[in-house]
Amino acid sequence: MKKSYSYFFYSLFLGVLSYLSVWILLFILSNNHAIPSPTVTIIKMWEIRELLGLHMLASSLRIIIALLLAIITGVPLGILLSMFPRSDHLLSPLLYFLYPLPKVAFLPVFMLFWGLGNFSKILLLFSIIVLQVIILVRDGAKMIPENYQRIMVNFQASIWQQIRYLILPAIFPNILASLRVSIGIALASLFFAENYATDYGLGYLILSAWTKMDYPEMFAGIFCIALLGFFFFRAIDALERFSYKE
Amino acid sequence: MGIIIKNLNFIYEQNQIFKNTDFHFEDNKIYTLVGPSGIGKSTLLDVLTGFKKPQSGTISYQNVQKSEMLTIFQNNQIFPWLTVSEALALPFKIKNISKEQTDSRVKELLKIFELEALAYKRPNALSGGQLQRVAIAQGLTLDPKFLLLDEPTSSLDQEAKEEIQDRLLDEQHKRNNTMIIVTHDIEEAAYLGQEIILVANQQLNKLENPTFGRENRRHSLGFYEFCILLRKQVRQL
Repeated sequence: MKKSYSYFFYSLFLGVLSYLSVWILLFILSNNHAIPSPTVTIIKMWEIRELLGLHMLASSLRIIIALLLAIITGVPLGILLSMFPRSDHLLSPLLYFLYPLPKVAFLPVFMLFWGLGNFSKILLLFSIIVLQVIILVRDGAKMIPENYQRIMVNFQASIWQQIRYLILPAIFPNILASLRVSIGIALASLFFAENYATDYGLGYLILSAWTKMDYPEMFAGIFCIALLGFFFFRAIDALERFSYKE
Repeated sequence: MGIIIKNLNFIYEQNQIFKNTDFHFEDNKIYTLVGPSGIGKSTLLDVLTGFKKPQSGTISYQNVQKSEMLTIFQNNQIFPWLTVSEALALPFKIKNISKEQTDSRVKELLKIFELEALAYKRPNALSGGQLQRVAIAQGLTLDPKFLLLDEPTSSLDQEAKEEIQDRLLDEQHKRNNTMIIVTHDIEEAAYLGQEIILVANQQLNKLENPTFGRENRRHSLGFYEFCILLRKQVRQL
């Protein structure tokens, strides 16, 4: 346990250090006020630390809820498609049509149908990530060796037992992979999801700072998104380690 | 008693694998199936367990339910995410057997199969022989009346092979179940099979094993002579 804590702080330190190095390099090379110095930004972050905390909390909650919804709906749908080839034949073309669409383009539709509150923001994030969860889960379930399924039939396992003892553990790495990809995309999409009718959220913070031309504050928001991404990714790593611990 | 095959016809990809085949698998015996690759040895196991449906013919299960038959596959028998003790507990969980009973049966199996030191290891940390021992232990958890094994020692070195073979004989002796073992290895067929089935010409040809049951037969002259005879017969197929 102690070892994993020290590794966490070591990787956090390494992440921040490399992030800062690239930032400093860009700051020196660009010599433009649009890229503020890290020192000024860090001072700014300290000044608005409470507000930053609230923005991070609001964004985290939206992402966590969207991820949970995507898992709750995407995993069963992906499993269903893998188990019933006919449903896969029917639905896959639709999935492939929807997958490359830029969901943010539907933002006005989301606002019209589900209002300006949190629901439409979460729904936008959900719509961006759910398709890749479905596709990764379906492909993972299809890759399960035939022998494994025969072993379950051997033991007279019911369909639910096959899902519980075979399919879910077998696709767990795919669920984690889909989460990793989704987190990156969801964080990037915050910028769109939080640019209307809200006072809290990192997307909102960045946009409002940009409008005010307050670049240190804008970079503070960007840094916080990076930090959030780090924590989410580490949480998934921890989940993976916990599930496969000896 | 046992499994009686009558007039079995099985065609796979336009190849007739079995044609009007008859056979009677009796209770409490060990059968080894030998024959060239692709002749239908593994297919027969699939037909017996119902994984593959024959085009015609009957298979009557007398005094045995399909649920009392179990196949141990050549590889990929143990799920990679399960530890050895979890793998042994899986069949009990599926049968909804209580946790206390499962724990005590798993403990017993770990002891019988000398797997206690490996109880918390996953398949990737086990050798081929250890893996096969776990697979057999898992196969025997629910005490199947018919245990079907598809090349159980094909990927093992000689030492591990002999260990698994002796263990199979031991378990069959203790449990009095029927084992049907598919193998490419003539010595294995001669050592394990009480009756050897030569699969050829779309038929199952039975051959009694005169050396079966003799003490220390693995290195006896009689055993070697029988292996030579068997090898000749397989070559002539």
